[in-house]
Amino acid sequence: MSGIEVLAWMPFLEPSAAMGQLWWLLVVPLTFGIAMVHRACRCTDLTRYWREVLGMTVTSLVVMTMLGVGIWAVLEWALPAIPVG
Amino acid sequence: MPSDNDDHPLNVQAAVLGLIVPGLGQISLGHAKRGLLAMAGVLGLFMGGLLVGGIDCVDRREDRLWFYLQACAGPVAFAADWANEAYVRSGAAGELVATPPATTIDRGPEPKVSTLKGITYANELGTLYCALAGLLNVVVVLDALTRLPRELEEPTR
Repeated sequence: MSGIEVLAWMPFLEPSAAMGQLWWLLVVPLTFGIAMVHRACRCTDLTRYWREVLGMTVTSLVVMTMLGVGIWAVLEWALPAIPVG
Repeated sequence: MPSDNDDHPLNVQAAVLGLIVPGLGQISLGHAKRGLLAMAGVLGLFMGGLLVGGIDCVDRREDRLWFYLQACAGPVAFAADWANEAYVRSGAAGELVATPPATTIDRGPEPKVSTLKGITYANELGTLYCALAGLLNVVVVLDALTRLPRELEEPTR
């Protein structure tokens, strides 16, 4: 996205194209928001709230990454290795 | 935890307040910090979705099933849908352009769409953000429904 496009962007009225090919990084704030709400309901001691939010965010992202790598390995390596016929 | 006292009646009033404003149910029960954090999470996700996808990602007419989920976030979803209708769909902001014909069969004039309409990842992710905000508010409302009021809790919190 060029600088002039950023200046012309009307927030909330039109979609943001600022992320470009890095749109998948939006999973990070999404996971953080989910963790914020979940820990607000389930955290017994709110003095540990932000630590638990950070822990849940990192855990979720790591597990999602591992699942992605696992599925990629199955599709790219395991399935092509099966002999056809 | 909310299940500390199974004999405690359900906080219907707090749940209704939570449906109107996310987190307000917990605040009404005396858990102000907890309610504000939940409110920040739900509204942060919802506004984040609108920022990423534009108000077009809340559309009661075109994305009805998604709107059912988004509506759980409360009146903010209906306000976003109204804004979408008033500014984007009506052409008040942007410009209405004709859509290319979908088929070769003549089915009358094709509808016009706004140039502000989102059609890429941004719109999909914005829709997802707003829908998850609605679903998370259901969790927050259920928590308010079953949570003990602060004066009945043990003083360890």
